[in-house]
Amino acid sequence: MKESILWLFQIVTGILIFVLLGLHISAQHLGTFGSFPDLSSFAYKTLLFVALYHGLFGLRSVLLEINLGRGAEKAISWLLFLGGLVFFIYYGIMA
Amino acid sequence: MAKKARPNRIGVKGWWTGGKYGVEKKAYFLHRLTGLIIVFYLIAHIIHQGPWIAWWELIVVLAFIYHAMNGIRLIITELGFGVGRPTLPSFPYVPESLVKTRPLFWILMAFSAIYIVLAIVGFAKGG
Repeated sequence: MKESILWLFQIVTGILIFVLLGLHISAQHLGTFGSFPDLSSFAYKTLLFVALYHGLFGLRSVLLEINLGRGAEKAISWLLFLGGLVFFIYYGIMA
Repeated sequence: MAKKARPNRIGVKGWWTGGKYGVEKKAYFLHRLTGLIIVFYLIAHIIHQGPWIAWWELIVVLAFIYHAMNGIRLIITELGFGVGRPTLPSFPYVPESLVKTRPLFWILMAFSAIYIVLAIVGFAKGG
């Protein structure tokens, strides 16, 4: 997929995480300032998906910047993509 | 060992030292550092959802607050808002786009500081 599209996803997922994780953390840790409802099951799975994408794409950006060579870069990209996919299926869909 | 296609002479050190940049360079370094903290926590948090050591969770929350606030600045700047019109380079070559977006940087850092104080107070009260 084109890098520009992947980067656009990075921006969109960043905005989604800001909203969803903000709500999740508020519900978990800011109880002393009032009552915050936690995420629904669907919102939680959405958060899991976008957080995995954003986090793993960010990690990929960091790793690719070290300039490890074309082969290693491709291996890292596939490893992170498949790792993220397995994580989401196992902990998001099957759980 | 095969020669690297694109040598990166400064390497990871360049996150902090590379180039004569302003406060944005330090913001970039912190963005990267907090991003790595969050991503490693995320993986561990998905696998093990039970209670964590409180101070470690606090560090991750603080990292998230900074990362989110600086991320908002990056998105706004990336989309071209507030960077001004392109101008001819003239001595002493001050990067105008950075100068024009700097107030936004400090506003978001102020918000970041407020949220960080709230989070620390929340944790101190046992939240």
